[in-house]
Order: sequence, then structure tokens, then C-alpha cells
Amino acid sequence: MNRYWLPAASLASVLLVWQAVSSFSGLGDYVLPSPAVVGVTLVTDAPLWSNQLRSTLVLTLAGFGISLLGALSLGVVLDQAPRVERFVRPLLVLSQTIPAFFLYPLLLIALGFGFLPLLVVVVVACFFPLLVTFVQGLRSTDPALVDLFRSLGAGRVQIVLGVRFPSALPALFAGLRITLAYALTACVLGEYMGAQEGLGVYMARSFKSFSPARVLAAITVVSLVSLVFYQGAVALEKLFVKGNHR
Amino acid sequence: MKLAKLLLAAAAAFSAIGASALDKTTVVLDWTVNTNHTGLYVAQAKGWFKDVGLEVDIQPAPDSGAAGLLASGRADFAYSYQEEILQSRAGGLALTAVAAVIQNNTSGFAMRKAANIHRPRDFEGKRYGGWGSPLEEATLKTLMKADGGDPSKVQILNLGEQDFFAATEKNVDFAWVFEGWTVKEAEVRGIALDYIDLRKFNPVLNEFTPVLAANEAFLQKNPAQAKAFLAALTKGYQFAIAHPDEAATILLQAAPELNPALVRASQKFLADQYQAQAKRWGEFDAGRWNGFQKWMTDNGVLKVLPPKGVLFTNDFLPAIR
Repeated sequence: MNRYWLPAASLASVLLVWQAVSSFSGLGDYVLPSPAVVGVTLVTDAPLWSNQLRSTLVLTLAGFGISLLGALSLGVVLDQAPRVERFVRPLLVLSQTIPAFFLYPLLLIALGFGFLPLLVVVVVACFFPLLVTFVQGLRSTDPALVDLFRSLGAGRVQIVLGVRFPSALPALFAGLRITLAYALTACVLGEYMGAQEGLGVYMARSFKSFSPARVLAAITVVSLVSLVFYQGAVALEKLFVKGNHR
Repeated sequence: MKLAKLLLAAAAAFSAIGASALDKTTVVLDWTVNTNHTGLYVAQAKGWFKDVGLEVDIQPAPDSGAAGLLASGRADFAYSYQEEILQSRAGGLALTAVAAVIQNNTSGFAMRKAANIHRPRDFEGKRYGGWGSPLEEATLKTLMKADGGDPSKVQILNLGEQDFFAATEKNVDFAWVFEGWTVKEAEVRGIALDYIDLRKFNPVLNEFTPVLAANEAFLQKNPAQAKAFLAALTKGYQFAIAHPDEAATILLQAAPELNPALVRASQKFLADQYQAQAKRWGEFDAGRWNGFQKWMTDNGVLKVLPPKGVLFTNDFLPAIR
């Protein structure tokens, strides 16, 4: 229980400051609704947002999964072929500098309506951080360990799978934890700009019809989902990384 | 109405031949779904598009997306506004306005009572919160000069994504809003606003906004589909005019996250505005269109004259009964 009280206290202090600002600033509920008002909205609006949350979760996890598979395979290639890496790197960096609000309308024109353009927005947001952390992890492999395996007669594939990949896992999981949050934010942002369903749609309709309590309720949901993702990544990391070493 | 019936018969005959071959028609919204779009949602909910042989797909799009989506053929119709049609044309995209969704420009400047602004010259020394378009500056200049004010004394700021009520708490004194949305929301909340109607101070500023736009090539290729679509859409808006409360309920069913009190108040206001003084819903007045276009050119808002082409037309609207 002891490990939970500090995070709980930090969350509670956020709520307290928020309540204080909304009560004493005189801004009123239509500019900054209090946590109490948002809490009530969260409950009464549950059928609406949970309905929209479903498609956000599916798209976020699908986009993340595609990025992870892509990063794992391309990462190994880049690690083994430095020339390819030098060719690809500028493109990858460029992909990070295109603002989503510019990219998304173009994707709609190129790919049509539906889930595909949103999926691309999510992939663009999380492919790069996953790849960079994974390649960095591969590079951090202890050369002595590689030499040892080679002297024992291990081939290239065996070295990649048996030595380099396990060595890269801690770095990969560090990237994974933050990237899941990126994926979720990118998905909601895309939906906000224009989609048929999703938490971002719930947020846009609420914001544009002047219901800040609903907007904050949606942000609360996004934050909670991020926390769950983060804890999920930590749990997976324990399972894979620690399990490997101990 | 005769034309609509004829089309209906034609469409029925067509669908009888092609089994259930409905023509797919994609419509793109210009903003988050709101009461400007009610007629579309009514026609969809009532099955009036199906009745004329169309399967209509309503797609929300990024605020800046409509022109490109129409030009690329991803969408057949889009909500737009006169300025966007003209600027897109100047940029080489052949868009045509086919219906005036709200007959008059119901947008204007809104401010809290405390800002003490009653007419354009009062803007002097005040902070305007906008979105960074040359049209805004030109509008402020035109209105203030005619009213004996000095436009250089207005501070123009970018509002970004702030909503009107948050922004006017502290950061700005006035902003450009739709009367049927923000001003109605103020009434719902009991916030006292002043509102400056552009048209009252300068009738030329009666821009057509919002309008329904289509790609000119699409119209030439599919005139029957365009007419069928507009016949059903007209019915949708006529229903919204006659039954604002029921229309609001239909919109809220499609978008339950919208603020219901605002939607109902807005719907009531717009019932008298969709068609207003026009002979039929959707009608364009050429004099008005050209007057606003000339003002845009004269004031440097429209830098390239649109090449030849149909900028707006009443040809696809159902005939007047």
C-alpha cells in the first residue's frame, strides 16, 4: 500500500489546486468547471463517452501495434546496415516535423474518409520514437558478449535474436511507455479535427457547443487511459526484461 | 416541386432497373456539426435522400479541408462560404456554390456589455480576437472608416482555439461570431452581450455564408444527381424552418454531445434565417454576390480574379412551387 500513497497524493493535489482555482478565480463553470462538476459530468455522460472511447482505443492500439512491428523489423535492418540507416534517417526525422493539422487534410484527400487517415496519423506519431529507442538499444549491446557468441560459432541471425535483441529490450520498453501516450494523443487530435467517431469527436462537439465540463471529462478519460497504458507497459516490461535477467 | 416529383419518379424508375443501386453522394461539413447543417441531417434521418435514389455519406472534415476534398473528387458537396469559393477559384480549384444555406450573413461582432462598444467607431483602442484572415482586417477598416473611426487603433490578436466566452473574460474585447450560435449561447447562459450586425452598417458585407459548394466538373457530369440531392436537401431545410424543435431533436440524435439548450435556441433563431426574404431556400442573388466579390477585390482581400467559370448558380435548386 505504501507505494501508492505518493502518486495518490500528487493526483489529489492537482484536484485541490484545480478546485481552488475554479472556486476563487471567479471564472465560473463555463470557463473552468470545478473537478466536482466534471466528476458529475463524467458519470452522467458515461454512455456517450464510453461509446466514443471504443473506436479511439481500437485505432490507438492498432496504430501502435503496426508501428511496433515496423520499428522492430526496420530497427534490425538499420542496426545491421548502417548505409541504409544513413539513407532512411532524414526521412524519419522529417516525418516528425510535419504538423498533424497539416498532414491530416492531405491524408483525407489521398486515402479517403474512414479509419485509414487516422491510423496513419497515429503511426506517424509513434513509429519514430519506437524505432529510435529500439536501434539505440540494439547498439548498446555489450561487444564482448557478441564476441563470445561469435567465438562459440553463432551466426548473424542467432546473434541478433539471442544477444542484440534481448539487450535492446530495456531501451525499447522505455520508448514504448512514452509512445503509447503519444499514440493516444495523436488519435484524439486527429478525431478532433474531423472524424465520425471517437473521443476527439466527443471533445470537438462539446468544445464547439460551449460545454467545457464535457471537454474536461474527456481529457480526464484520456489521462486515465494514458495511466493504464503506462502501467500496462511497466507490467509487460517486468514480464519480459526482468524475467530475462533473473 | 414538380421537378422534384419528376426526379423522384425518374429515380424510382432507375432504382427499379438497377435493383437497389443508390448513387453514393459524399457531403463534407465545414465545422463541427451544428445547426447550419440541420437540413442535411433531417433529410438523412427522414430517408429523403434514399427517396431520390441517393445514399448520402456525411463526413466531418478539418476546418480547411473542404476545397481540396471537392477538387480531388473525394467529396461531392461541401459546406463552404463565398470567400472560400472565390479564393479557391483564384487558386485554380473550380468550386461552384449551389445553395445559400442561410440566406443572409448572420455573423457579426460580439462583445460583452461591459466592453462598452455600440458601433464600429467604438472599436478604437479595443482588442479584437480573430483567426488571422485578411478579410477580418478589411472588414474592420471598411466599417470603422465609414463610421468615423481610426482602424489603426484596433489591436488585432489571434484567438486560436479559445472560445468566445473564455477569451472575452480577459484577453480580448470583441470577436467575430455567428449570431445563431455564440449569441444564442450567451442568451442561454444569461450573459449580456452587444452584437454588431455587419449588414446594418454596410449592406455590401452581406456575404453568402454558409453555402453548399460542389466541384464544377461534378455538376457538369452529374446534373441529375446534383438536382436530386438539392431537392431532398431543400425538403430538409424546409422542415427545419417549419418545425425547429423537431429538427433540433433530429440533430441532437445524430450528435448527442452537442449542448441541447444551445441547439434548440439556435434552431429557433435559424428557422427565420435559412430562407428569410428569398423566394425559395438556397437562392442566390447575383447583385449581392457580385457586390461582395467587388468589395473583396477593391480591398485587396481577393488578389487574383477568379478565371471564367460558374461561381454560383440557382440551376440545381428545385423550381419554385
